[in-house]
Amino acid sequence: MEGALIGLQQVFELGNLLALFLGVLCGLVAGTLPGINANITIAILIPITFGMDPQVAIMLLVGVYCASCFGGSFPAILLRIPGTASSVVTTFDGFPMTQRGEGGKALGISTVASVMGGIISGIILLTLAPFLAEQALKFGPAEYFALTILGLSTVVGMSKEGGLVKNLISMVIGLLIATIGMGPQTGYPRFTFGSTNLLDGISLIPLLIGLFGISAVLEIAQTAKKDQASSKKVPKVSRILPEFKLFKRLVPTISISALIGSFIGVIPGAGMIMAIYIAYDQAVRRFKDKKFGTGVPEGVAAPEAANNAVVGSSMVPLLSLGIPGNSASALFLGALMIQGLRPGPELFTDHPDVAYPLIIGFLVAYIFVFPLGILVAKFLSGTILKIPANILNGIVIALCMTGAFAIRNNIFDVWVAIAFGVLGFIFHKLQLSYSPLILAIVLGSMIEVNLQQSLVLSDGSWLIFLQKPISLVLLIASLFFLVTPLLTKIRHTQKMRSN
Amino acid sequence: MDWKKDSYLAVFLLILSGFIFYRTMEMPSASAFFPELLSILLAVLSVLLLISSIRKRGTEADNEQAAKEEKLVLPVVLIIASLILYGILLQYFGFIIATLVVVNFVIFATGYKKYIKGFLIACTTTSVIFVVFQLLLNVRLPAGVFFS
Repeated sequence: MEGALIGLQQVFELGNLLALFLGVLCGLVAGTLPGINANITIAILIPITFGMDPQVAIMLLVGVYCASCFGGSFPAILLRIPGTASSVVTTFDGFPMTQRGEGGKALGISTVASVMGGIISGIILLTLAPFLAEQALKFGPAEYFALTILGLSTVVGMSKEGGLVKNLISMVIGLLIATIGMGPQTGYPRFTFGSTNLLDGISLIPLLIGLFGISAVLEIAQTAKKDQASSKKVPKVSRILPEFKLFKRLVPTISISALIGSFIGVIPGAGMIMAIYIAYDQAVRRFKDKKFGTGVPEGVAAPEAANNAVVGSSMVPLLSLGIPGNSASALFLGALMIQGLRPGPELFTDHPDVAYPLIIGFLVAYIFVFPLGILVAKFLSGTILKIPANILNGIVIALCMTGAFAIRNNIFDVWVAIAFGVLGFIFHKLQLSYSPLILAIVLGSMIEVNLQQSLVLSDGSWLIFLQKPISLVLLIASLFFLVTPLLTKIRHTQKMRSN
Repeated sequence: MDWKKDSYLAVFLLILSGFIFYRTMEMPSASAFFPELLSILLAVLSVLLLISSIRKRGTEADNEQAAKEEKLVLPVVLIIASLILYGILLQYFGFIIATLVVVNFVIFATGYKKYIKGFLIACTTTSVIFVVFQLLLNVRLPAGVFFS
């Protein structure tokens, strides 16, 4: 509790507040732009935060992460174009409301639901992360190895695209990429092909800039001609804040959806898409008399509360265990690492001045999300949506390239970003999912080191992972997450066949 | 034709895993252990992918119509080319010229028609990034081999 108060005090320092404000503004604009999401924006901003004070840097990124998923709901509601994938479901009832002339009301509902969802998950982050971190401090190498396996297997099991085998392939490719550079213990250069630039491994930030920023540009370029957003007329928005009566009616839906979102957010790999569908589905079941899909306020409130609830709680695995559960938290890991900080259980004891403000930032950001969101929705969303894709691509490319260079003042890193941009694009084409790849790249060396240390402790016996109770439980849980989606799929196809 | 893509991918990965396994043989055993394990895993997975893709053949052959959603290839190729150009220009001509050329290239090569506006945006982008990184963040952006 003491830590939380220190965090609160530090977040309210002027520099930090300003960074949070700017982050929220960037996030709202980026979220509104179709094709640009939180991950891309954070990847581009990390090099800029490099020279900043760690607290200020983190506040900026927290602001972006909190606001962008809300920003995605503007075009979803006004134009039926989800600004980010997390607002796909919001189009179902949001756009029909706009067609009825209630676009402003829908935006207001989305604002209230987003803010409440975000705050609820922020509270969960604040209570859960320090508690889990305390438990994780007792972990040895065997437990850590099992923990990383749990992280990977939930991501592999939960990722929708591709199926189990392809997700595993994604993961193995990521782990192999992580082995590039000097091996742990021996220092022997692996897969460096004689390049000194590769001795320390491929540097993480240029890699992420490539995977998110550049491959996103390639994706946008592919569909640039059909440029839906800039040709559609953005409807005028009237009154935004919902009446108190409507607000009161929506509170149960928002709360339930926020809890669903927070719960799903904590599980590595589960993510926003799953949260919004489950929350929407749950709302449909609770209100059987309402015609969802025709502009029901609950249909806007449920997914928006759920996706914003994922934001805060998705940071739980990273902050408490050092294992990022989704792409955004992998980016936060990168951002903390270039500041010389290693996320994980020790962060709360060694650097409470960073750990707690980070968490509190997720709560305080919503103070800005609310007014700025209304402002952007009402006045700016029209202008932002008119930016042509070509211009956007040019600007994003320039930012990506400069950012990749700036991290280490090294032109080689520019090539890394280009290479991984192309690789990311190929991954999309082949329907290989991203999350297992990224998580594996990030966790690769940790897995290898802990695996080898455990095997040294046990004189080479793999049974050590089954003999330690915590590691055994974690491995059983991994198996559960890996196999469950497969079993439900098999049951599903059997049902289809018997029908 | 997803199964075709998958089977090509599987064959490629199988060859890759063989190559990786071969490279690990010359490493000291402590360093080789993990990548070796991974290469074997990759080989097993690509065989599984190959089997499942061949089994899928025929069941989805008629879906071609749906898959033929209009996708543009040219802009993607042009942008990749411009990125490679950027890397080369950065080395020899420095940040300002590289960025200016590539941003213009990306904007116009993908079909933007308002020439003056596009050019001005490219100039503004380059100068804003230059000011932010070089002057505010103290990053020494490359001046280029020819000018330093």
